Amino acid sequence: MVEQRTHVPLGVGFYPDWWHQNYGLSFGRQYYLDPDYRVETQAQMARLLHQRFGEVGLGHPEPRPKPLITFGMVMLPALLGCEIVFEDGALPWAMPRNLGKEECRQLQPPDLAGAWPMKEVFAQIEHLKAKHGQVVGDINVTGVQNLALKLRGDELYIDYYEDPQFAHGLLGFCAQCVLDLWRAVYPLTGSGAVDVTPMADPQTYVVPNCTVEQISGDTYLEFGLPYDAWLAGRCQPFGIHHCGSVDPVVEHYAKVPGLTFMEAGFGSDFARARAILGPQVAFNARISPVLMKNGTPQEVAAAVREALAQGAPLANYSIDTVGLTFGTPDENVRAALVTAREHGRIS
Amino acid sequence: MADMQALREAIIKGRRAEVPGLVQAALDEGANPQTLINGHMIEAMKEVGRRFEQKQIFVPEMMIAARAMQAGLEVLKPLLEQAGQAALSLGTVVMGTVFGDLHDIGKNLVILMLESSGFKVVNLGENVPAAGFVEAARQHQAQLVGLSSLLTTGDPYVKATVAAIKQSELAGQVKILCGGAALTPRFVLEECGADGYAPDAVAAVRLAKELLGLA
Repeated sequence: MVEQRTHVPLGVGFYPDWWHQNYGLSFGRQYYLDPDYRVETQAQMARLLHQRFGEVGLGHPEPRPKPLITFGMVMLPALLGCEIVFEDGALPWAMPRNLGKEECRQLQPPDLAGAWPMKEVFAQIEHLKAKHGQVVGDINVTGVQNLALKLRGDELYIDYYEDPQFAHGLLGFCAQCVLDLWRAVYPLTGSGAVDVTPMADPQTYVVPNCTVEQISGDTYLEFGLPYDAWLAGRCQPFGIHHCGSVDPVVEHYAKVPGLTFMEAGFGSDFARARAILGPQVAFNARISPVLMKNGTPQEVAAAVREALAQGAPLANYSIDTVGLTFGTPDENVRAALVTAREHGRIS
Repeated sequence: MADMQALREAIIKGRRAEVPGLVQAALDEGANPQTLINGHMIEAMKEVGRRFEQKQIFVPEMMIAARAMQAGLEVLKPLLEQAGQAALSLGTVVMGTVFGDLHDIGKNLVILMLESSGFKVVNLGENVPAAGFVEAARQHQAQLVGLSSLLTTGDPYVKATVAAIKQSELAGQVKILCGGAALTPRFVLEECGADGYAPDAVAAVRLAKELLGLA
């Protein structure tokens, strides 16, 4: 039975440096490769959040173990040879390979079962299921253009104009890698959204389109939509995470078959996006982490009220303030949560 | 008569393959290289910047335009060097993404635009510590240091880098320009004490010229 919401949910997500600098928690290599360390860290995070923000509903004083699977956004880049940089206070980062065209043409689909670090993640899933009876989460699939940029570097954007056939070849390869990873992980976890966003129904296949904000609607139509549509035709329910303003491409996102979830960054015209996508598409609106860090509680509250005002219909609408870094005032976090509670009632 | 409008249009549209031929045709008809650069090619890049600011074009279109501009400059460089002139000599910029941040596309775009507008740019890469900026500025006798930061986690490193430059012998000799999605004018100018805040690559070029008295 689907729970009926009474209020628009507002998610809060702190960046690793917030945890590291405030509490000394580390999100380096061990966090991703040692599942027991990760489960314990998650429990600590829930307790610390409750101590600090319990009065506004964050965290838990006695959390149940959360047998989480995650690998940041770097699984496919790692499998395809990118150097991965782990830091205690940051998300893992894949260094672009900046491959030449011929090197790109020689790329082979990764060995999901046998190659680092996917082999380790499969072992983690078995371990966590044996110990806790279940796993939570999944593996972020990086996204088609995001992955192509990690392999080819910025030259991909030149290729769009000077060698579109090559670009399509690389994007098609990346889309196949995304599909293969989903097909390998989803049956084991039952989710495809958690490692991208906590705001989607976990059963949704959410593709992260972080770099699509760098291209025009026309470019997305030619080099993005065919691959998102191809994936959506094979993975349902399907959702998209979009960093930054969704305005230039939202009309094309509406053409993705069976789109059920859209996450749009700050700067978007949320009302327009909702109108174009239709009320059946669940929508998550993001509040700027820069505003959360540098703004006043009054400015944060105003941004949340504005996001709510643009969100109708509210029944499948949510807001989140992801990526909050060290130095973000606690009052701003409370202001966001309290404002959503006071003004986000679903009538 | 050489078709300057076609040259401008080829740069604006990023038709890299056409630009060298159009430049050569203009030279064959006696055009002055410096006039070609300052009177037509840089004007074309200004139009590219205007379209980017108005969101008529995006990152790929900026990149192909800058590459087209550079293809034209390659034709002109030997002639200017023969004449004892630099192709473009607005100054030297050292540019990098601050420590703790590995993002590169925004920084690379600023570099392309600066180079296409006449600056020599030394790309320090990503994850650059404060001392790296100071040392590079000293080594390359830069007039301008550019700091890029996409994440708010970079704020303390932006501040530390600006402070390191101002505490070195470079203080007063180099201007400091900061930009990136995480930064705000108040933080950059008031809290860090940098000389300029650029919200995007086009503004970075404009501010670089203003800060160096070239605008």
